[in-house]
Amino acid sequence: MSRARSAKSWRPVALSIAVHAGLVVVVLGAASLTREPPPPMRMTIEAMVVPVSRLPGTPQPAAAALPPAEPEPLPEPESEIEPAPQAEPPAPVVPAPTAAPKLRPPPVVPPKPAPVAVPSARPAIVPTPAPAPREDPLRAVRERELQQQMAAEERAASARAAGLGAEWAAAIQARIQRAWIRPPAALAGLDCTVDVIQVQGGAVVSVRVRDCNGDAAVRQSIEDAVYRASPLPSPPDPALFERNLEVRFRPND
Amino acid sequence: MSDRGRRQWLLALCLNLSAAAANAQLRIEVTSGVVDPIPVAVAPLVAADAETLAALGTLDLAGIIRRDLESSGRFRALAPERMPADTSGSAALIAADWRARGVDYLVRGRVSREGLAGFAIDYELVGALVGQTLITERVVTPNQTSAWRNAAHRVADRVYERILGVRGAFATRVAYVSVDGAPPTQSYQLIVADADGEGPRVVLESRQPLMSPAWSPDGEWLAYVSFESGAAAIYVQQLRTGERRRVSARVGVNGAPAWAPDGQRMALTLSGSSGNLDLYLLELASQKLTRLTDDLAIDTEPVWSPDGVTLYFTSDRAGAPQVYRMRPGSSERPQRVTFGVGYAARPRVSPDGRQLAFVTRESGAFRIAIQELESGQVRTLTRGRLDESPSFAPNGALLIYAGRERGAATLATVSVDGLTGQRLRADRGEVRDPAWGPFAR
Repeated sequence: MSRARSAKSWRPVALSIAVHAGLVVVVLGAASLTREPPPPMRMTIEAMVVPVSRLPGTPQPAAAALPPAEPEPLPEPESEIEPAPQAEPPAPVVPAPTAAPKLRPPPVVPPKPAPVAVPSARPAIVPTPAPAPREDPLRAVRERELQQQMAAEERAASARAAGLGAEWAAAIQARIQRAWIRPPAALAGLDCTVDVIQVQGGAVVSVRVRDCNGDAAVRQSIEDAVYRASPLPSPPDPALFERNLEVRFRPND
Repeated sequence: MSDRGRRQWLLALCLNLSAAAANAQLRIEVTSGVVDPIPVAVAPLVAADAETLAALGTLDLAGIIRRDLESSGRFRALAPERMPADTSGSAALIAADWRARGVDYLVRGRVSREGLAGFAIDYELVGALVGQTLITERVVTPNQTSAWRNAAHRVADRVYERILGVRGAFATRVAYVSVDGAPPTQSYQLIVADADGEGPRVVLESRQPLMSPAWSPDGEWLAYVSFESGAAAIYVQQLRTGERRRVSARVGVNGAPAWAPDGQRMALTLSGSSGNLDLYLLELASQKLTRLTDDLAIDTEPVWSPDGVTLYFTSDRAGAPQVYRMRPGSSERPQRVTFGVGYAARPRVSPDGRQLAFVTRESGAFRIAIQELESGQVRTLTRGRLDESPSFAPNGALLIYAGRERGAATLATVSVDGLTGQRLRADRGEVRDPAWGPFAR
């Protein structure tokens, strides 16, 4: 009986262990699952990180976006998050699912070059959570968000390190080149820079010719080319997505 | 701390950059493009009232504009039957719809009465990709078929220029010689027509050969060779008034007149009594004649560079015909220009002075070729058996030349990249010696 009892008393323990183990799994799974929802958030951040990595491979620029927040590190993320959402509202919902599956492959790739890039990316952000601690109940949530941001940035950084950014840029370049019906007035020596804004999915929403030594027809052809190329190819890793592109038209003949 | 220092440094750096630059992350460089035709749609022009409708009759202005744009090879026009019935709406509103039809640009407009006897075409060029109106303009015309046609050509010119950045040459004219009948009862006509071959007008008719028409730089006069007196002589004739003058009727050959860009001088070929062709320079007002070449070989077919400094001409001084150049007034010897081909004759210089078109011979066939003067690179543009007499459009985009189709001589155009060719209509008989006129002033 006692045996049975002890056996019985085992059961709850086993059950408890099982349940806990299950919980752990679930929690872990959930944790990893929560990666999925963040995509919108991540994209938001990515967009804002824009100035950060203007120069491919230099994560520091992030600081450039922070300046306003300097005294109070905490607000940074929020201030960063705010602006982007306006433009993104429609995107987050849809892209999320597609983003999730694609997310995995890159992390696999990074191992080699990533480690180097990651640490450097982290320090910039770590200080942020530290300052405004304990009291806030939202803190945990926020911290998790930050973690996710970091993870996203790590992925982006490692993806960049893996040359995926260059691959994407090449894809966009190829597409715009095919779409550029070059007018006879576009002579050798032409050099025009346009600022392009795209949304998730690659749809071009704004083309502004900035510096250009071509005439009205050349500028027109360039504007046309970018719109004609819309939607632009998606990045191999959604974490790489950038709203703002700088496209330079400089025929090499 | 160092982190903070770096941030400040970056902030300073950031402030130095323009806002736009600071936002751009991914940089992409475009180093090439394509030369595909640009898809356009030309909607039928709407007549504002019954009187306008009656004045237009069967004239299809949109069709003229559409064919002009297509003839350049730079545009591909939406087939009229695929044109939607309704083409109204603001540029921003309709842009997406036209984009979906694969149309990058839309030309639309209306025609209405203007003044006592005239009409006006109010047209608009819509950029469907950017969703903006790029041109709104009014072209006024008297009620004559030729004027209507000219107005449509002018619309095509403006559209062409706005999109390509190169002046359109649709509202220009070509001169050519038409030969009808068989010897000895042949009839020669000197004809001036619109650049699309429409609206031909006979400016001179003769039983004796007419040849080598050449435009004055202002487009008011034609110089040509006529055998009406039994021997070759060079005449100039004002198109508007019909006034004509004989400017050279010397012993032997008087040929190949070429008006200098200043309009005051003319290069020509004379044989004198020796029978050997050489180049001369004739001052039209004073009739002063200067010899330019003195060579035992044949020197002929002179043509001026656009700046009036250099003369290009054909000479067989090296055996086969080749193109040479010389500077009238300079003592330096003529220099050979064409090298890569065994035969090069009848040169013409592009309006920008950078290209030379000429007739070359390839496996027994005569074809039009073009040479980049700077690099010397040559490419053949046509594929006929007997293509001759190339002449540049004043915008340098096309060449008109005389070719043969089923044994009969016809006129054709070819784009300077050789990608687009077109035959012009020929009523009857043989047509030859086309000369593309200058821009209308």
